[in-house]
Amino acid sequence: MRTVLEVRGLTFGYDSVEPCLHDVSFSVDGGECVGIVGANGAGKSTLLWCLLGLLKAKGAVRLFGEKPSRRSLARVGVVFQNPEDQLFMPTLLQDVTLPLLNRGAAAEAAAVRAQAVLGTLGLEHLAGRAATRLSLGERKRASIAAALAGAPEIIFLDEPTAELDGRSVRQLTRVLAELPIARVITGHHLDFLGRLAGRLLVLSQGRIIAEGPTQQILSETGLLESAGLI
Amino acid sequence: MKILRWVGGLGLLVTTVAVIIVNRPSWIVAALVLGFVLRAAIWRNLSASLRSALPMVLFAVVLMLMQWLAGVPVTSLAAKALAVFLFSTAAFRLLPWTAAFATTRPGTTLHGFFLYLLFVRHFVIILQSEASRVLHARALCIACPYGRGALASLVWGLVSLFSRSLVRAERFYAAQLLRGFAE
Repeated sequence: MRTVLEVRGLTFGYDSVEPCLHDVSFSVDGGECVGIVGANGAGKSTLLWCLLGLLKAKGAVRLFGEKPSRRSLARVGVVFQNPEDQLFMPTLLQDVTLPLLNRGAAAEAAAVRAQAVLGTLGLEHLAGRAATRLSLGERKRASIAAALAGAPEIIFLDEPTAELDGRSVRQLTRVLAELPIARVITGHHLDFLGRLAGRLLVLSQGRIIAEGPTQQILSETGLLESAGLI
Repeated sequence: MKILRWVGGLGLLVTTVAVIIVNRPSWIVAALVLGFVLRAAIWRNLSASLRSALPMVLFAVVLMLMQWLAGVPVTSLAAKALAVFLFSTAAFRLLPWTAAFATTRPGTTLHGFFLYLLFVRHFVIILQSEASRVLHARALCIACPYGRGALASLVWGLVSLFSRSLVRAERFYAAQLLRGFAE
């Protein structure tokens, strides 16, 4: 499989005194599902922002072999922790259509594509509603739909299970498991990531302290305890 | 019904401009009264409509107070600002602009203008939810709304609201950037 994301020696600090990411290196192949686990404040969201070029960090990030740029980011989908950060249009259909229109797609083709993506996520009956009128689980799926509309080759999800109930987590697991593209998921919901991710990176105080197959990492109780995950 | 909403909304926008231009105190007072009546009628809930205008009323009072403290004449600026707020928010509520947005072509000035309005509306909703969280948290922490520490907790609540709003604005901006808004 082709490498879609490569990170080498990534270091970042909000101030010059204490970096919150230290020498982070890893790669993600096409179609692979990688989980980045860590306790609160471990640097998971900061790492995502650095990977997307939203924060300028030292080190190298390569998306599809090139630096994060408009061209490479057009092939990326991002789901933020809070769906309200993404969805703001009068209807869900317009929310899903918007990134396509922004990137020059024709209105009719964009609407057809948006309907198809909403159908895939079981939200076609809610296309005419505003995101503010949906449940949190539906909003999470809607933000995934908005991220998938542009047919990305890799999708980043920042703590997708935060504040979700059990049924919504199961629905989300099913949706994400069926995606054929590369997925990078941050969080500390080990049960959820255990079902989805093929590989886990354990982030603690801004450093990757372990990396390996999911079941192997989840069996190392001492490691999970030291990372503040159990 | 839609035509009526357009006519009424545009009429309110014209009145907003007129309020800025006029200087006769009696007209400004009349505009304020009319503005509050309209607000109550459109919101269909008197107490909620007046409560939601409270931050703007406070702003107007502080503005007058600052003019007075600075030793400059207390002008009609505060009253006009309040009247403009009342009429423009009523117009914002009355005009069926979200439906009109769907008919605009992406890339046009009108489309961009409606998008800007959508951004503003979305951020007002975020501000409202953050403010209500802060105020509820404060209400649970203080023994009496006017007792010891009540003012300090209100000030710190507002400071935290400011920082939370900045964080939310930053995330919203980042999310929209990644949705191709800079392209």
